Amino acid sequence: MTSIYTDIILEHASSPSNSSPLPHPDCVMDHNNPLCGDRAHAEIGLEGDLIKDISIKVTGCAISTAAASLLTEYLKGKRIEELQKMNGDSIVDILGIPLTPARMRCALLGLETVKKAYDETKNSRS
Amino acid sequence: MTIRNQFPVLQSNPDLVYLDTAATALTPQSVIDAESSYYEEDGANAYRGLYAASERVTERVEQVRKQVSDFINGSSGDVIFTKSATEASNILARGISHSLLSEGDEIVVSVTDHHAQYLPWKHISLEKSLRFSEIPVDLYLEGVITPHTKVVAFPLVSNVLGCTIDSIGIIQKIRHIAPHAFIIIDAAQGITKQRVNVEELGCDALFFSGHKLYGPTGVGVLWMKKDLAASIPPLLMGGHMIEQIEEREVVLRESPAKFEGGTLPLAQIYALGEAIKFVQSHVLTEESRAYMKDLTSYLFDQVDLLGGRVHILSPREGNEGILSFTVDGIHPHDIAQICGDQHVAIRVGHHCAQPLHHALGIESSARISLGIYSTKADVDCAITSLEKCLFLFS
Repeated sequence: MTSIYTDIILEHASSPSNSSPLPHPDCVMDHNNPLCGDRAHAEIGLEGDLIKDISIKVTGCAISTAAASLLTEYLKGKRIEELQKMNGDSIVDILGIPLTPARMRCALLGLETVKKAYDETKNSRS
Repeated sequence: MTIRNQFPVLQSNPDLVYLDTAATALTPQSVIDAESSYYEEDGANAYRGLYAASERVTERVEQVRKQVSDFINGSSGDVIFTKSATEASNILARGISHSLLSEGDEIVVSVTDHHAQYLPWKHISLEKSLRFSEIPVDLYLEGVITPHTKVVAFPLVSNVLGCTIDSIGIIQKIRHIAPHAFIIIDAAQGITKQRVNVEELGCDALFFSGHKLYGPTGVGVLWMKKDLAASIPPLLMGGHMIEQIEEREVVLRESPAKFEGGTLPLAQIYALGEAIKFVQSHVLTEESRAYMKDLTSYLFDQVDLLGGRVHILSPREGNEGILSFTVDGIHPHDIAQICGDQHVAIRVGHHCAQPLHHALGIESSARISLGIYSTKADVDCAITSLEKCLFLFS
C-alpha cells in the first residue's frame, strides 16, 4: 500500500510554513475538528481582495498540519475568489496524495478555518 | 479447531491484525449461524401470533432472557432487551430523572465513563440544575459521594484504562454514605473480562451490549431490580408494552414488557444467546483468562520496549487487555494510519471518553485492545508498525 506520508508531507508536518501570527490580520478564526480535537488558528492579511499574507497554526496530525502549510503557500498572493473556489479536491491536488474520507476531515481543517475567517469578517462588515 | 478458525472475518482477511476488540468484538460462526437461523427457520414476530413459528420465536426470546439472567445471576431483577447499551443507559437516565429525582439530589458518574453513560446524566444534571460530580481516576470518593447523592454510575472496566476495579468495595462505600442512591454499572467492557454477578455487586442496574460480547450488533441488555423497574416509565412507547389505552389513561404492562416497545431485535436475540454460550465456553474459562493475562503482559512488555517517547496511559495491574498510549511528536491519527497501512487495526481518538482524556491532560490517544482470538504474533505486528511510526517521525 502506498504511504500517504511522502517526503513533502513529512517536511511540512515537521516544519510548517506560515504558522506564526500576522502583525495586523484582517480576518482571524479558531476552528476545531470535534471528532479528534485537532485545532486550527487562521489569520488573513488582505489588500483589497488580494490575500497579501496568511497564517494557519494547526495543533493536530501530520496531514492536517501539512495540508494547512501547503495551503498557505498556495494562497499567498492569490485573490479571495481563489480561496472561495477551493474544496476537498483542491486540497487533494495540493497534497498530491489520495485520502480516505476520515483523513479528508484532517486535510480540510485548515481550509475550513480560513474560509470561516474570511466569511466571518465579510459578514460583520456588511 | 483453533479459536481463530471460528471467526470468519479472520479467514476472509488473512492479513488483518485486529486489535480493536474494545470497539467491537469479532463474531464467531456459531453466533452468525444463530442469527441466520431466525430468518431461515422461524422468521415470525414474538408474542403476537398463535401459530407455531411465532410460538417458537416467543419461546426462544424467553429462553435467552433466562439465559442472560442466569449469566449475571440476575433473578432478583428484570432482564430487558434493548437495541444497545446506549439505549439501556438512556432508559435508566430518563426514567429515573422523570420519577425519582428531586431538587437537591446529586448525580455522580465516573470520569472514566463512556459517553453512553456520562452524557445522559450530564444532560439531566443541566436540565434539572442538579449537582454533578465525577469519581476521579484514582477512585477517591471523599467529597464526591454525599448523603444527597441519588445516582452513582460507573463502568466495571474503563474502555481506555482497561483495568478491573474493586466494584464491590466501591459500592459498599457508596451505600455507607448514600444508602438511597441508585447504583448503575456499565458492564459493556467488563462482561467478557470477569464473571458478572449482580447480587454480589449489589447494584441497582447494569447494562451491556451484544456486539462487545462476541455477539451481534443491534441488541443490548438492561438488568434492573424489580422495584426500580416498577418505579420508572419507559423511554419508548409503542407496540407490546401496554395493557390498555383509555381515554384519559394508558395502562402499561409490567417490566420487562413495559420497556420493550416495538418489535424486538429478534434475530439478534437468538445470536445473543449463542454469544453467551461462546463466552462461557471460550472466554471466561480459567484457561482463557490465563491466556489473556499472559498476552496482556506480553503486550505491555513489548510496548515498554519501544522506549521513552511512548507513554502508556493504561495501568498494568489488573489490566484486561486494553492498552491506551500516546507517542511524543506523533498524532494518534498518524499512528493509526501507519498501523492501518500494515493491516494493523487499532483505535485512535478519545474513544467516546472525552472527560477521561481531559482529566489525563490530553486530547486523544491510540488504543490496542485484545480479544480471545488475539495472539503474540498480532502484538508483534503492532510493535513493528509502531517502530515504523517512530522511525518515520524521528
